[in-house]
Amino acid sequence: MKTRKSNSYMKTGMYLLIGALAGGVLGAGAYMILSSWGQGFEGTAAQLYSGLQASILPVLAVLLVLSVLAGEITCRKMKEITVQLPEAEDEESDRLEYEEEKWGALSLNLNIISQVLCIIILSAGYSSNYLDSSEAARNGFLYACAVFVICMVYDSFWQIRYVKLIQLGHPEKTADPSSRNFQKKWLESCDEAEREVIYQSAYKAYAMMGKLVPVLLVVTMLANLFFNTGMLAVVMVAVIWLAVTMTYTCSCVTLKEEKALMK
Amino acid sequence: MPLFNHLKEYRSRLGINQTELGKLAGVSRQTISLIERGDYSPSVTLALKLAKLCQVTVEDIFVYEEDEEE
Repeated sequence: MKTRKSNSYMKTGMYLLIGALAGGVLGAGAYMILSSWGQGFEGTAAQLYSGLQASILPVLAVLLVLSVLAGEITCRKMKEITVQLPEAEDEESDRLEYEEEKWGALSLNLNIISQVLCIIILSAGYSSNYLDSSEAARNGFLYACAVFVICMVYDSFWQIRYVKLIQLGHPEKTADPSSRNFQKKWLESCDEAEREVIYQSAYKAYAMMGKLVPVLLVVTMLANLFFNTGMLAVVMVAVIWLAVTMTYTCSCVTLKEEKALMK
Repeated sequence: MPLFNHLKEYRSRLGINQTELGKLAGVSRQTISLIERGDYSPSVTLALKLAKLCQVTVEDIFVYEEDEEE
């Protein structure tokens, strides 16, 4: 039976055409909006930015409190689970290990969100223009830096506690979280089923990056076009794209080389 | 994958739980649970290890049933 072959070139051509049309419509729309209300937008953006700069310290303090609260609550929950694990029956262990994974993922995500937000908020004041503007700005930024450091230290220590909690329920995982080889040692301590989950998730993350990075490139390019944000952001995103793709392809070649040519 | 197994039965015959079998086979309890539920197909090495621990052949534990269409 003959199967209908899909024309990949035609399909890709169509996608590119649709993309170009969508880009044209978006670009024209953005141009019209900005030429009509551009100054209003720029004024609002500048106001928001200066508002953020003025409130770096309280925002970081709130973030620190929220990070500590989230960290302690999730740690407590994970401790409850890991303490029950060694004594649990097989079926109960399945449920507990799923809960452990779920709470672990949630707490790790919250931890990373906290770190990213802290960096974004602090970077609002990380400009010589702002720091040279007044003595109060410099003092406020200094205190904000102190809160930022506390938040980062808490988040870093929390990650060590998180690993130690997992090790409490799974003593076979002995990797030292403060070691530079932690990721490698952790992977080595995982069995084949656990590694399969890690590999699948890593590939999913790689595929997601492949979709997200081009979008980010377009956004940073448009931001530079309309708001003069500079091309550094474009270069940074491009570097990430290159680094991720090259790491993946080089790893594939190395693994094939090890398995095919060296034997 | 049309791979079925009788690991749970053989483990019960040995009178050990998933954690203990996992320790003997050098894998986690969760991996044994996944295999028993048919959610994970073990490597040849692990399948052989499990068969040796249960004192049977791999074919006794793992059964490959081809799809009717094949």
